[in-house]
Amino acid sequence: MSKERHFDCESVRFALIQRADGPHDDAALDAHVVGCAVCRRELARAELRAKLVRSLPRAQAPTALDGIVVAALQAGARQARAARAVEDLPTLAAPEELARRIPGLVAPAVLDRLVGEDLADPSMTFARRYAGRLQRLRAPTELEGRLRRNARRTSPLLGAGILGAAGVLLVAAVLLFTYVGREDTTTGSSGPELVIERVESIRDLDPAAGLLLSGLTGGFVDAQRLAQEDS
Amino acid sequence: MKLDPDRELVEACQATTPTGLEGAFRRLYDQYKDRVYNVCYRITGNATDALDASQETFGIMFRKISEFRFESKFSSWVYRIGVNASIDHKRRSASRWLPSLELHGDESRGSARAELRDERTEAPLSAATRHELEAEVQAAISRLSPKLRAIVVLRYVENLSYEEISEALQISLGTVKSRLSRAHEALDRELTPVLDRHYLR
Amino acid sequence: MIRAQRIGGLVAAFGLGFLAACGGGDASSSAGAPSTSELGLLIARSPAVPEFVSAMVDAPERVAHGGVRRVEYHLAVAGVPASLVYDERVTADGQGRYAIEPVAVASPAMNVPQRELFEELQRARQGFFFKYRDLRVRGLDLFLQNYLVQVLASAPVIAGVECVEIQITPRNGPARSYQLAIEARSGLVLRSIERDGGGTTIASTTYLEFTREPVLAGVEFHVERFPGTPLATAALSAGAAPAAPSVLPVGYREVSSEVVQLAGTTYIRRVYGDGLENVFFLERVAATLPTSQVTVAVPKLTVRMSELGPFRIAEVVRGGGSFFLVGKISETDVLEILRSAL
Repeated sequence: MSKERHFDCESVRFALIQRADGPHDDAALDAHVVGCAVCRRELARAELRAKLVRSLPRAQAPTALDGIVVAALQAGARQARAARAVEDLPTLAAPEELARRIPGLVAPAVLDRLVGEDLADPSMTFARRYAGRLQRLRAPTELEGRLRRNARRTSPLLGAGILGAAGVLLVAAVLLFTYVGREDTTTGSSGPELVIERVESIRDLDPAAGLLLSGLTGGFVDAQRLAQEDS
Repeated sequence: MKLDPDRELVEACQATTPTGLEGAFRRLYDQYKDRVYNVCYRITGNATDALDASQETFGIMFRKISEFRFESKFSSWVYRIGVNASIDHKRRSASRWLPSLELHGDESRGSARAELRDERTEAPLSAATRHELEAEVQAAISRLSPKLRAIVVLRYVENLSYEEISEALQISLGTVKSRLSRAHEALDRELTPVLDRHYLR
Repeated sequence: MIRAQRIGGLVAAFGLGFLAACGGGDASSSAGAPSTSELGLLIARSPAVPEFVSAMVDAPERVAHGGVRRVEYHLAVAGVPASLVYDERVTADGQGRYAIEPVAVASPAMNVPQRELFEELQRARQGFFFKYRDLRVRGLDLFLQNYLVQVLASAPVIAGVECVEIQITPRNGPARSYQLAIEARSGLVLRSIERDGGGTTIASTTYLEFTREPVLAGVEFHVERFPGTPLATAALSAGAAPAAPSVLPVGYREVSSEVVQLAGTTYIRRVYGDGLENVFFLERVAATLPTSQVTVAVPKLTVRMSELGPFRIAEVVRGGGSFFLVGKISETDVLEILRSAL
């Protein structure tokens, strides 16, 4: 005959719950329940609980959900594009491939020009084509001059292809050029003489330094840059 | 191995990228929207959060469907996403500043076919006993911890088998059993006053 | 301004790979050798060092935990105060796996595409955040050598958890302080506040919700996409002579030196740590090396110097390569380090 299974035992409790859930092949348990008032009561309670939850009316998704999901799909597609752009870039060899992967993101001809160290279009036109959204730049002629200067400065990057273009782009994307060249000199007892050039705007930094800094500040630098985009 | 009833539809979705709710994606969505909404509603406890959590569930589902390998049932996978989205939504709602989407035509939210009450917005009525009981049961479920809530909803609202629950929640069968036991215990505490009111002891 | 999303997308991959690589560095232990200074030994063995301070070492990797935390940075950009405030969800399985997922951004205000890009950048950076941004104690001896720890009388409750609180001040370098609320049993930091020398809050991280039993199901743990190769074993192209600082700020030791490859560009990344903070020295190796000896003595080099809050950033271009130095150190230290390396 069955051992005396105490009500407090976990297995009995669960066995009762299973029994309450539906037909359960446990003749020993059934026999026990018949004879044990405590278990009978517990079984009844378990059955009632299950029944109560089961009797909750089935929710029907409101029609509003359709529109929301469509919007989510579109947003998701945008995000997926951003994520893919972010993931795939290091492995892309050519700017044309980049343009193919992310339609509308870059104009390959412009990219080629950049890679070829030819900033023939440093004006608003270039910026507009590249960005895809019209933005007001402050001093076009000044910008032109600075783009040329910065392109020269970052020319060592251009050998790295797309990264070079990105580097130049980053520089060109700076809205507020507060680049100030003040010259200090300092010499130590050994090593090369170092001339200090103060950079007022962190966005004038090389992308490597800028992104390392962003990492150390929890994304602060990128957040400021993104948020300052005017609508 | 049992064939997944959703296999064909899922594979059709995997063959294309979604640009909108159409074709195989539309069919899959229609198949699952009530199930997903139901789970989200019962776990979050109100229609507004359920809508958000459902939207997130489908967003994730469509985004990741290409990675699904039928190592579990597709439905279990969807339930898992729904449960997590619902639980996460409750955790997030206190710190949400910005809407996650710019919706077109927001005015239909929470209305139309749903016969369910939003606990927060609907004024208390001297409703029929059945509705009152339903609200109290839902409230009892809402008072459970997220893990226990999930298992109660999956078992008694969606009628998943223990194996399906194990797959959906990524826990062992043993854990399913012990959690269900604990859920019953907790529900017992929460529902006793309810039962006292509505049933004779 | 050019639409940041597009630019960000291009720059991000470069930077993310780079940062992700930084996140993959071996930073779980600080300078291997135990402290030999008497002072260090005295402090470490003193019964006055509370157990939870020891527990802090590498707690985020050893202890399973999860929750939502509020991250804030308040830094002046070109003299203008600016803030970053956002929430992120943390999940760590206690076996070294972790995920840091952005949840919502309160400030600055961003529209949907901006926020989506920002979140993608944050997601890709999570390795770096976990290893280097989050406040962690690495190497008890080294930490105690360089920082003064005072246990505070307050017993704050953070995210429902009772904590002990300590104040940490550096013995060397620019003045700043950290106030940490720690769950004593696990050594996990539930709140950290960093202040500058004047007492203004620069940064803070506070758990809003916290659990020692995180939901692990469905979590996408961070996977290192651009692992670095230890410099000692990496095969660099012939003629490349990596620059290495021979002077370090007081208290710092080398933590790691690695080579990272990103889209055909080689970086050598050196990390130095003082038990709490890190200094990064980066070399972007020239794309094309001249066939003759690279290190031609250069009489004068321009250092582009910048600051953001407690951080100093320096860039030097030499030959075809570039060097970067980032850390919470003084300008004098920056120049000394660069001079010793170049």
